[in-house]
Amino acid sequence: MLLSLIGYLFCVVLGLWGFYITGVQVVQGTLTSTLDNLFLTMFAALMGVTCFGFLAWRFYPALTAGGTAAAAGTVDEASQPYVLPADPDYVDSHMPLFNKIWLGLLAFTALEVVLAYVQIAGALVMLAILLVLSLVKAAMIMSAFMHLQFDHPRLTWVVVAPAVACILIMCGYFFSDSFWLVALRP
Amino acid sequence: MSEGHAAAMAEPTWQGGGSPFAVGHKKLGMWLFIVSDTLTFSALLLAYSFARATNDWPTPFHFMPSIVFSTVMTLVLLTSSLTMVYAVSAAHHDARRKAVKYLVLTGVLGLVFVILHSYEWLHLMKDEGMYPWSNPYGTPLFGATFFGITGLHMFHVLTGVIYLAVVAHGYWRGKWLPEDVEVAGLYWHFVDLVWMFVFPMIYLLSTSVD
Repeated sequence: MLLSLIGYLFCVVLGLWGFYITGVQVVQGTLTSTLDNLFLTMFAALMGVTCFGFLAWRFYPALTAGGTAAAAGTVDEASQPYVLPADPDYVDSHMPLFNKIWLGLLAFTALEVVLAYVQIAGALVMLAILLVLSLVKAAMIMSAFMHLQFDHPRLTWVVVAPAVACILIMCGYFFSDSFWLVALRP
Repeated sequence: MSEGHAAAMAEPTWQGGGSPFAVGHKKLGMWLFIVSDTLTFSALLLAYSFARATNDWPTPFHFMPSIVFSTVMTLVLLTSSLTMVYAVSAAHHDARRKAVKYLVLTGVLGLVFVILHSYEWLHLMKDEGMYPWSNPYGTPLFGATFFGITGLHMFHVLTGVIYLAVVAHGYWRGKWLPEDVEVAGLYWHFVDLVWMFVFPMIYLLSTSVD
């Protein structure tokens, strides 16, 4: 219980810190002054969103359920055995969802192709728009087709969290650092 | 999921039984492989972004044939993902014939993808004179990154087709279980997922708009 409290406190502090850095960058107007600042702000904002998103995910059910019976932390979900639904029909009941996901993916692809020709903004913004669309598509594939939303949430944390963390480290450190190398070239 | 596995999961997790992630070991292993492969592709795409940002990057792809072909390839790959979902669903119902039918359909769609992609590669090499080491548009890195990234993806698709064929054969013979079909499906969806990033970054951002 104490450890959980320390964890949540840490989460709040880390999230506030992330939003503080983001806020300072935005208020000072140094957001896009250098590529480093852009990456720093992106990283800090993501940290804040992740921390508070986690807290919301953890406490939202307890808050909406009156906050007494299902108070967060009293039921240790991790010690409960999780049994996958044995009913073979459970796969079948998702088929309409899978068809819809497929249609949605086709629609997003069409939108991307159109956006490649109707360039509504500069190259960097277009890259951002296309990447966000791709991320949405990836999330659709992972949650529905790759079945993550029907598996135990623990699997999602084990699989998605390290991948996202490693990619953020690549973006935040290696990618921005590689531009220094060009500047250092004699 | 085998019976032993189900029995192990009925035990409380922290008492020695159980499966911490509530999935079979094959599925967990495939997920871990997918995470590592994700990082391989992200490293390549980041290197590509770096090459783009530090060079005068050409945008030579015309609507016909490059963009049309890659769009059709995207549709084919997305549809193959849907047929894969159908195959997994049929396998979980022990509808063996139906499952194998959809597995074969998925593999055929994968082959269509590879054939379309090879045709486009040949067009780029023969008609446009674009090679991994040189191209008529500008920096040679353009060809290097294009063939490198799409080549690695095509290798994944080819491997996936072989994997699907092996799984379909083994499942038809009764050697493997529905879980194996599901694990093969995870790999196939991952290949689809990677293309969702390769397609906009390599093709759509290199279209010649004028």
